[in-house]
Amino acid sequence: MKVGIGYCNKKDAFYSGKTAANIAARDVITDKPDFILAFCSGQLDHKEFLRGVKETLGNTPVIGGSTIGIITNDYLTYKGYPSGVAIFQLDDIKYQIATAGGLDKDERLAGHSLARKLSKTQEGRLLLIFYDSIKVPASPISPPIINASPPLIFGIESILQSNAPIIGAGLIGDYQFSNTTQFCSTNVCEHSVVGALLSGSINVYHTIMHGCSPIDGEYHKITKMQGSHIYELDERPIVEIIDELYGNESWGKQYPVNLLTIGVNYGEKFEYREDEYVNRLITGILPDDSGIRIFETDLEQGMEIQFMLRDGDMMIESAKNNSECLMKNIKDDGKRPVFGLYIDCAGRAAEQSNTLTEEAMEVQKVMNRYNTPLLGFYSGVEIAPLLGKSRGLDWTGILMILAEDQ
Amino acid sequence: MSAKINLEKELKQRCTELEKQVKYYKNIAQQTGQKRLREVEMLNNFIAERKKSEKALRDNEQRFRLIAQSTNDIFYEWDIESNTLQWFGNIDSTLGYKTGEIKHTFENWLRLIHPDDRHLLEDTFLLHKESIKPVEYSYRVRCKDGSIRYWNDNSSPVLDQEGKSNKWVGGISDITERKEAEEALIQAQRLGAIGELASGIAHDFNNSLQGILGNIELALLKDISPEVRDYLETVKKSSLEAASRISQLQRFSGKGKSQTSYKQMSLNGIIDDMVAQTRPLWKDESEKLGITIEIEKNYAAKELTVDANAEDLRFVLYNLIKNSVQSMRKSGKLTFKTGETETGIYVTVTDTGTGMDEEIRARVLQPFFTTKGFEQGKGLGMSTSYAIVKEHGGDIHVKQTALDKGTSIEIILPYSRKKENRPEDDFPGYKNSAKVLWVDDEEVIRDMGKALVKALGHSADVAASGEEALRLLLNNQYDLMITDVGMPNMSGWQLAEKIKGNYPEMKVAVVTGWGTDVSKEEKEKYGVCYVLGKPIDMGQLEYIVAGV
Repeated sequence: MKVGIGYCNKKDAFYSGKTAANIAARDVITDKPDFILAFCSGQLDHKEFLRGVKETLGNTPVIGGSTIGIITNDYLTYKGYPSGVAIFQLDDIKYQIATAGGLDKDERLAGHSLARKLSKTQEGRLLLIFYDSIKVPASPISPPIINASPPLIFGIESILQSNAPIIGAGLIGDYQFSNTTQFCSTNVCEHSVVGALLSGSINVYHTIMHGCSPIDGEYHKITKMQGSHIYELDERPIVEIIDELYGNESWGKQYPVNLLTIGVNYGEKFEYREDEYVNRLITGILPDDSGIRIFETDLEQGMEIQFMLRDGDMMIESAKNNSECLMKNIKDDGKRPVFGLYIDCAGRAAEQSNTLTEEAMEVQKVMNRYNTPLLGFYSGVEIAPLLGKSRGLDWTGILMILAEDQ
Repeated sequence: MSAKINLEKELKQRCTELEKQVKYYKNIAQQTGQKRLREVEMLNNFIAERKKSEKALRDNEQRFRLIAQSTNDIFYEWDIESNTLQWFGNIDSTLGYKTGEIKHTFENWLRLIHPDDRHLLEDTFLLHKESIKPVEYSYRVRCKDGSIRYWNDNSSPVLDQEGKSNKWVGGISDITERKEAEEALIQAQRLGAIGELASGIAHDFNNSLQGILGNIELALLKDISPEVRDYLETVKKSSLEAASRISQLQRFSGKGKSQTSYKQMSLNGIIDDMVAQTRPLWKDESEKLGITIEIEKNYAAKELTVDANAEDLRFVLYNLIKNSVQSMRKSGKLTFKTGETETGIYVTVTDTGTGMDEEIRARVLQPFFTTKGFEQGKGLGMSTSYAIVKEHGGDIHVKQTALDKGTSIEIILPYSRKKENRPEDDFPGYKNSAKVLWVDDEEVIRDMGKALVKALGHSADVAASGEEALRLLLNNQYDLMITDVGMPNMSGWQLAEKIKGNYPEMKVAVVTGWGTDVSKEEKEKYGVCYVLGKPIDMGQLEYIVAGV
């Protein structure tokens, strides 16, 4: 497999698409790749961007869509109009691309629809999916309503019956949570999910990185919640508990809450393993102070959760150590890494996390040290298998590596 | 039984203790968690503040840089203790360097300063160490091409807690244009003063020459030996040459304006003519010396038309070409560039010759200033060129020069106006016998004048003053009155004004040693027909007298 990476940061969408594709094609020395991954700033005209890519690379299928920022081996930015393209010559690897719309109507049905289009293929090694995170964009008077990942994943898994890990992202194009666009093979779509099922002689590795840790180790039972709203823990108002943690009510002015997430430990109850925790972002306090709102709707009454601390330093340490560890494992397995995809929650960017350096830089450094082409992008929701089951994750970085046998 | 009871009791006690212990540890964990959260929050706030101030600093610096760029000014900060200097602004391109070519160090800063002005900086540095008052001073800096720019440096101290200056921040403005304008003004004033002086000398010389030439003319009318005639002719020739030189001086002073007419002409065309005409100079003679001079013409695409006297303009261009060629002691290039500015049309003549230092540059337009020795030049070429260009309503200046870096002289001429009818002075017809009244306070001149008129076959009376002339006019009838301008009590102009309209049959001519630049309107105002420059030669007199 050969991979080329291109980057551009220009306001002219067509020029950006064409330039990024050109740069990527220069690495692979081809103008007819098998498959393209592309992401561009939500501020760019996606149709024009895709037209620019096609201008260079013809009608090669493209999957991807809107993003807030791009990370490559050489660039990392969420300012301006960043865009990135990865092109692949797959050799022995087979792929199939499918798209399903109507995500804003029913996520599960959209998942079914996507899986049905892919189900006839032989057992896959990886299902990459990118979907529209935004059901209803944010307005001055209301927060955004997002497309939930759990029913989408459930919809796919219930039909696909494959062991292929699902890795991907819910896309967002800006911090205002505006509508997003997906690249669905040769078209652009909205409220859609696009997937590529890869099969053949390829090895897929991934690591889940968030750096959050339980704040005090105490488990709280959800005793009152509805949809994405949590009202009570241990039969106490959750707002009161968080007030106690902070020692004041200042957190109530933060959207999302800066330092706390809701953590669900899917591993051993009294053992901390970073990659066995699912984090749920607290998007904010409810207007009547009766509870909090979280990013997804997959928590249920009766579940035990922990308050997790979002610590910038630990996030950076986590990115550094986990990336290094993943690459070392691949080497130890005698495999050769050929491509890295970094799906990074937009909330982890330094400007959002209030860190002095970018955590994604740690991933960059590791990938450069291992001489592995990297394309990363900032996302809304990250999807990866956790304890064998693919889940939507928040405030997480997922580094996925495609590796070949030596 | 009691053992069982005891065991239960112990177990209960143990459970109670364990519950207490769990509660105790939970409490510790909670407190630790809260502390951790609050510490991270504090750290986060601290980082947020730091990032905010860093951003503000970056924004300020960017704003500062933008201001520096947009104002073309340079700003600096000098740390006294570490003797380090930081400067901001587009210093590189200002001095003709590529961006980044000058490393922003204190030593490089000093290197840019003109060697003669470095002591100013050294003095100021000492002052900086002691003083806490703002300092302003000017100095020269050298551009990459060797040319000089003038900077005005305005610095203020940054005081520490003890009120001592530990840093100085300053702004530098490029005042070259202002300085050049000031120097141009001084130069113009200096040239004006020289012109006044030259004009006075010229007047006296003209009076003397009038006497000499007139008497030579009279002597030549006599029956004299061929040998004496030859001597007199030689004296006359020398006197006329002297008169011509005086005339050049008068042109410089602005009082000897050319009497010839202005015509619309192509500037590029006249340059082409002069380049062709001076080919022996820049090509043949130079090549004999092993010097190859390449001519480059960089003309404006548009045809440029000026109102000019062709001969005068040729004179100016000839002088510039000659000076340039003489300054080129090795092969090089002579470039002619034409174009338009807001004020007019320009031609720039640039050579790659020896250039000038500042002293020569300051004096180059002065009369009798030459760098070539008087065997090669009289030092009137550039001053006359200056006079000619000024007469044309234009300007001539040294645009750029530096030792061994060549010289660029720019002439700016006003845009051609709509073609004017500039009527030539009407030329009179001829009259066989005329009666002339010659008025001059100098006896030698008036007697010589009378003799010349008589020699031409006419009759003449003389008057030593305006008052005497008025008395003579009351009782006599004259065809022509020739009067000197500069007379005590009543000038020639006042005399002419007094009699204006009273003697319609009589024509009035004024003779002046101050130059003949008098407008038609002025002549009409005083009722004067002719303005003659001293010395008047026989032919001129014959022409005037015959006209009445």
